Amino acid sequence: MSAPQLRAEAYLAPETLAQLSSFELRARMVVEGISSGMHASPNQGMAVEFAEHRPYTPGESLRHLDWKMFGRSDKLYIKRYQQETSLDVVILVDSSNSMRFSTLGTKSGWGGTDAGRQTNQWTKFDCAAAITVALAHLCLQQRDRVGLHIFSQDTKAIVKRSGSRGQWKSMVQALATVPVQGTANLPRAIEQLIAGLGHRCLIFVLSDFLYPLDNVRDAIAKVKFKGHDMVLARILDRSELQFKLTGLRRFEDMEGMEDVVTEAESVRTPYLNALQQHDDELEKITKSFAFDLCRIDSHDSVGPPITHLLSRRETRSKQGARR
Amino acid sequence: MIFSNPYLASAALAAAGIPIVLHFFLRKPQITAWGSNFILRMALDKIQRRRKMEKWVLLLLRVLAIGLVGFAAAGPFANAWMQETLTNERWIIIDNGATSAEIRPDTKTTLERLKKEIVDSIVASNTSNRIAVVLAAVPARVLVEPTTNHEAVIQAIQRVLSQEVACDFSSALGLAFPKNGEKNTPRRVEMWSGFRRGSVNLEIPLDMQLASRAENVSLIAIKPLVDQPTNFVLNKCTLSRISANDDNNRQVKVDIRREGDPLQKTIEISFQNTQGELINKSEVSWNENINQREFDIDIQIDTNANQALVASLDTDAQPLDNKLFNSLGATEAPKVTILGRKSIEQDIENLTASSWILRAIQSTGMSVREIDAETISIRPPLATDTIILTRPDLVDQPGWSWLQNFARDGGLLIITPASEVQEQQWAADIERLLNIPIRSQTKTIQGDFRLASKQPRDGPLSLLGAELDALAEPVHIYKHIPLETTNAAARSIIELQNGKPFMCWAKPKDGLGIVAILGVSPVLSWSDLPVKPLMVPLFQELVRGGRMLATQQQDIYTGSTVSLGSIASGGLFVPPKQSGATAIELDSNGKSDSRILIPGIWTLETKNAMQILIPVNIQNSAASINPISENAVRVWFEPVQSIQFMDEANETSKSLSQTAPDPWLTQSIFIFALLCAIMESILSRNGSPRTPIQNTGLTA
Repeated sequence: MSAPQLRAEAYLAPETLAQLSSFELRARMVVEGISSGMHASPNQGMAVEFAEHRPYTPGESLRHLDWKMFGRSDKLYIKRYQQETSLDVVILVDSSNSMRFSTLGTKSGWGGTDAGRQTNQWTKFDCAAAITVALAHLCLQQRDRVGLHIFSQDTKAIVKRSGSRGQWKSMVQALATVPVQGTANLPRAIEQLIAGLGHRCLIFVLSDFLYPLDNVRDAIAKVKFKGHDMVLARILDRSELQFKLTGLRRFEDMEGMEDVVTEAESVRTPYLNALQQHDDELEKITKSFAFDLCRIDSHDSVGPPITHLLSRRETRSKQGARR
Repeated sequence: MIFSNPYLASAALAAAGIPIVLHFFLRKPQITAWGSNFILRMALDKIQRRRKMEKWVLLLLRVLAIGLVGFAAAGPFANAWMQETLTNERWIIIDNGATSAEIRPDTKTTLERLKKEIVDSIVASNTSNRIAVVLAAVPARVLVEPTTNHEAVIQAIQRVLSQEVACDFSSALGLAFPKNGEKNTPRRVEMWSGFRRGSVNLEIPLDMQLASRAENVSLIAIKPLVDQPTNFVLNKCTLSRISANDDNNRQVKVDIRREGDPLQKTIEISFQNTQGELINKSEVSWNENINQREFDIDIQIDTNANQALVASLDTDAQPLDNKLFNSLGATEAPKVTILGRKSIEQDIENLTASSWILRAIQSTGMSVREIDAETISIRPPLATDTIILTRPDLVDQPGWSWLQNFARDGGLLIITPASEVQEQQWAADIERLLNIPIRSQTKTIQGDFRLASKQPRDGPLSLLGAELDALAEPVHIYKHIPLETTNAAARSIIELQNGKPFMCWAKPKDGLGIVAILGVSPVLSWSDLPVKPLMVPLFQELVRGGRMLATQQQDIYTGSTVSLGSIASGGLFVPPKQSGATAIELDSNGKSDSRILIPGIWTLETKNAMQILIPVNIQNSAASINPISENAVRVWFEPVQSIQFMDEANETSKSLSQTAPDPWLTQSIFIFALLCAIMESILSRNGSPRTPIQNTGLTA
């Protein structure tokens, strides 16, 4: 099958760009970038951000002496500054069969993915792709390095972290062409990801999380242990969120689970309760590791949930800095 | 349950089945591709058990809602429903006795009207009802055993005809009530009758044992007919000789009664003989002051053969009582046997009683013989119809038994005291020995007694009339045994001046013959009777008249069995030719097992090829169409079970089908159906006003 003609700009809507333009993606922890950037580095250097004073040791260069301090206290202190560095961002995108689900027609101008192209619908994977593209663009704009891992049972496609100009197109290419199929195995994908990460990263996970969370908790724990930051973005179709179906239905599972035949009305409340319970559990996991959880309705525009997430992180980041 | 529109009720039942069909067979699920059933499975695992219960409750509610709406629309009857609930079987007793043939003003008979009403009520009743039919005409019988085949019941009822017999509700109820020990299921026993006097014999109470079987029985009756149609009834026709010496000319005493409204009318009464030839005809005029008429008609008959006599009236309201049947015996010379003891005494003062009697009756041409009284048990006098016992003291116990049977089977037995003994030991036990209501004493009473100047006019000497008074007057009695009657069935023929009986007669209990006892022995030592003018007519007419009464057959009525005595032993009782009935066999005692159901002139064919005509009539009381009150009917049935008249029972006097549906029940069913629908709606989450908040779903 020949690769579709790719128009990279068709994957980033102008309104999304506009919504993201005033935001920055900040790392909430100190990261070790290989180039200077806007994120705090564990290495202190002569950058703009003041860090602390230390007593002057004779023989040191007088270049960083704080003369104002000497004037006030008659003691010699050397000014130290926080070194700012670039952020490594890895986006994990679920491409299991359940991500093909949709109840919304495709959006005009959208470049399309394997999932949406077949059904001509705006699938959860399409939504995930759009978010990925937007995030990647944002990262590259602030000279961070960004990488992509697309997984289902295994990791299907990897776009290595890079801050180069062609990185964005590579990611778009991967998203547009990767086959959306199989069952999701997030713990395995995380394991595979963190095994290849040398220093601290910000990891985005875009998935519907419609699978048991027991193993996911362990995988996330490992992420925390390695010192990475993580944002979980739960993408669900509006129909899955609201379950406004009627009549007797046979629910055919896209991932191959046993079909369910039931009266939709009678099962609505228990379904929503169960979904709520599952969501609560996911939130509990993310909170326990001080990570972020972002809920996305695939029917909504991509921009607002991302901007909401970014502003929240920015706020927290500032609060953390003050403390 | 009964509905005003049973078809709609059936449709409701069918409609109630729709949810079941949908539930199990017709509902195909819509196929929905779903991202992951993971959450759905989580939800279903939690509610699986509740969902199953809910599913069944929902199905039940849907069925109920649809079914109840249909039932309410079909119009159920509360009363009928109660009745049906409490009653498993419906037993219909139909009075098809003589009164059911009464012609009503609309020219239909009572039975025809009843049949129509019964059929209407069956058609309107629930088809699952078990219905049985009992006919109350004697002998009561079950026409249809309990069945749900209403068509067969209706056909059987339409074939029922009026019988010329009495109605026997006692036996009919006995058939309709549950047997002792039978499973005591509730029954509704309905009595369909005009309840005329002939149907309800108020003098004879119902069988009280029925009361013990009346538990769980509701006794329903239709209301009695209260009108009294004009009806002429032939009460009685009796035959008698016109004079003591003329056997060919007879007199018919006719007794006619009128029931109902006075009506100026002339009716015709005609008489026919065995061959159906008209013997005589008479017209009887009525006016408003007369309700009963008696008159005599002279008829000429052939005395050499047994003759039938049929009296007929014009057909009127009650057609079954317009004929009376009678028969006349052949007037052969009586065969008299005197049981005494022969004597060679020629002296008039010492002549024996048997000698005097022999002299008195020999001159009449009667066949007379004299045998020794002591030999009766050894060699009974066969081929005799009259026995004059002048030496009862010589008769032994077997002899008395033979005499008892002789009198019971239609013989004439005349007893005089034995002049040869001082004490009449036989007299002390005569009541038991012959089974007659006459008593006597062993000791004679002596004195000068005279016979009363005015003697009774009935009994065997009735034909002597006033002549008897003149003949009795000169007679002197010197010695006699006191006689006493113990009940009204025994009568005096001749009385003493003091009013005490001098001669009595009676029929033995359940017998056909006559026993006459004379208080005096006809010898000169006891009385001067033997030499007085009374002696010859007394014995002659005693034999002739007594024989007429004795040979007169016991009245036989329809509905009864026959008992014709030893003469009919092993014989055959043959019905009138035109009746189409079958002959009845008689046992060795001349009795039948089966009942006679057809009135008319029956023929007794004896073993020795004799043919005797015997009349069978409808009992007047059984055919009476005089009305009786509701209360009388109620009181008559009360000892067995309180009755309810049809309209009281369920306010459906004519038929259940005409009853309006109970609005209360209909509304209740509608409300219940509505409640079911609401519950269904709530349970199926359709239109529930209390949707939980979390039901709006998650928001992103």
